[in-house]
Amino acid sequence: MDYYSASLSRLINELAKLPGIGNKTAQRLAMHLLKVSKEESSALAHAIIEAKDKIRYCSICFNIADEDPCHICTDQKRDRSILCAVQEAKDIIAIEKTRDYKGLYHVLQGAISPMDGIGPNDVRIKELIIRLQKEDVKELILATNPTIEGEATAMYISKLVKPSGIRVTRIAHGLPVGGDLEYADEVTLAKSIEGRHEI
Amino acid sequence: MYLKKLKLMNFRNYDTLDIELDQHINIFVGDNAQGKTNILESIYFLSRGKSFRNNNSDLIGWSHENSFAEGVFIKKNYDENIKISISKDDTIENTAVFINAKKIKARSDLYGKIMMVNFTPEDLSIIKDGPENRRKFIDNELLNIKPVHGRLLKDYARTLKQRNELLKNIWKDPSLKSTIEIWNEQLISYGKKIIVNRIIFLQKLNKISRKIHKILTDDQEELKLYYISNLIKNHEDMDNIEKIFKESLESSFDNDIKKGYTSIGPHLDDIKININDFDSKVFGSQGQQRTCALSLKLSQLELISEETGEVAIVLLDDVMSELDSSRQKRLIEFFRNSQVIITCTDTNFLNSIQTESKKIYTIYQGKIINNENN
Repeated sequence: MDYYSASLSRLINELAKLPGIGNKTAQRLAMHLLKVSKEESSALAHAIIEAKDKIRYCSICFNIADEDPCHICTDQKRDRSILCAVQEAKDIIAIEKTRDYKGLYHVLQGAISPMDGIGPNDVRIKELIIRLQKEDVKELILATNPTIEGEATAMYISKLVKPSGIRVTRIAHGLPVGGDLEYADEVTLAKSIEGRHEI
Repeated sequence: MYLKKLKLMNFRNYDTLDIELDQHINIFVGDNAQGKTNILESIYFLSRGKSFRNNNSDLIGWSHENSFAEGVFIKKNYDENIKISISKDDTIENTAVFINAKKIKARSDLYGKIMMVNFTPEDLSIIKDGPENRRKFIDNELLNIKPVHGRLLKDYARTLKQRNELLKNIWKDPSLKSTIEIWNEQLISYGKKIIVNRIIFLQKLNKISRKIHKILTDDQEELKLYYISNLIKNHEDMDNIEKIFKESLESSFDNDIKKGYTSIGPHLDDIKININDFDSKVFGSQGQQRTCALSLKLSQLELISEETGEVAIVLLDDVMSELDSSRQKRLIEFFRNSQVIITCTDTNFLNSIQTESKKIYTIYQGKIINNENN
C-alpha cells in the first residue's frame, strides 16, 4: 500500500483487521474519517478506548458489563432459581430481546472443540459448576448453539449436573415461528418432526 | 425430466455455447481434448453445484475472471431454470446458484431438484477399488432420493473429526478421557441413521440390480449386494444398532487412543458385490466387473424413477466405445424413456440407434462446428 502516506495506510490496515471489513471498505472508512470533523473522529477513538478500559467480564456470569457484577446478576427482580447457559455474551442479548426469560445467565465463552484445542477447562464450565453448588438453582437451561460442538458442550454439562438433582433442560430446535412449513429446509423439518410433542 | 436448453459462457474451453437439446438422444462427437466431457461436466455442475472433477474455480475459462452456466430443465409438473455463476478474485472463489432467478443460500438446496445419472469409464472403480468408492456411490445416489442424507454425512464427518482430534489429545492429556462420551453419543445418533439409510437403499437397489444384471448377461449371472458393517452382522442387530455401536466404541477405546482415530463406524463400511455367489472384486474378470458397474448405474436410474416419479437424465461419457454392438443396443433400450447425452470419438454405434430421435453435434476446439437433427 505504497500509494498512501504512512499514517493513512496504518489506519486502513487497522480497519481491515475488523471482522466483515475488507480492504476496499477499510479504504472508504479511512477516507471518511479524514473528511469528518476532528471532534467526530476523536469521539470514535475515545469511545473505543473507553469501552476497552471500562468494560470487563462479570465475575459471576462472565457477561460483558460496565460494572462487576453485571446489571443482570444484581437485578433483584430476576428469578434466581433458574439459570441459562449460553456460548457467547451476544446470545444473552438475543434472549433478553424476547423479554420472556426472567432468570439469570452464565456465559461459557465458547464451546468444547478438540479440533480447535478447546477442552472443557478452556470454557467456563468449572465456574458454572461452582456457581450451581453455591447458589440455589432449581433449573439449568442449556442454550448452546445447535451445532455439533454446541450439542457436545450441552451434553457434557448435563452429564456433570444431572446427578445433583438440578433439573437440566435443552432448548428446542425446529421450525421458526410464523414461517410457512413449505419454506422450511428438509433438515430443520426432519428435526422438528423428531422433536414433536403431544398437545 | 430433460434438459431443454444449455447456455455456457467462459466455461472451460467454451467461450459461448447456446444449444437446444433433443428430448431423447444427444451425441457430442469429436476428437480427444476438444471439450466433449466439458459439456457433460457443465450439465452435472448445474445439477449439483460442483464439478465431478475439480474445484469450481478451475471451471472458469482460461484468462477469464468469471464463468457462467445456465440450464432449462423440463420436469413433469414444472420447469426449473438453474443458473450458476463462478467468479474468482485473486484467491477467493465465489459460486452463486440461482433457481428460477432466485439465489439459493446453500448448495445443498440444489440437491434433489435435478435427477441425473452419470456413466463414465471410471465407474469400474466402484467394483475394483477400495471401499470408499462403494460408500461414495451409495451416498451420492441416496442424495438424489433423500437430500437429508447429505446433512447427516456432513454432521457425522464433523463429529468424527472432533472425536479423532480428541483421541490424539487424550494421548497427551489423559484427563480428557471423560469427554469422549459426548462425541460418542452424537457419532452414534448420526451414524445409526446413515447405516439405516444405506441398508434400506441397498435392499431396494439389490432387487432392481438383480433383474437388470440378468438381462445384461442373458440370465448367466446373478448379482447380489451385501452391506458389510463392522457393527451389525445380521437382521436382529439392526434393531440394536445404538447399543452395539456404543459397546463397540467403548471396547475399542484404548485401541483408538493408540491409533489416534476411530476404528469402527459407518465411515469404514463396505458393500460386497457378488456374482453367482463369488466376490466380483476378487474373482470377476474385467468384462464382468464392467457389466456389474453398468448394472448398478442402471439400477440407480430405475430406483430414481420409482422413488421420485421423475426419469433421470443420463450422461454417458465415452462409455459406448467399450461395448459391443449388441450391448450398445441393449443399453439404449434401457434409456427409451430418458434423455441421454453421449460423448464419443466415433459414431460407429449409430447403426444401433437408427430409429431413435436424436441430435448430433460435432465439437472442435470448444465450438460446435456441425449439428444434425433426425
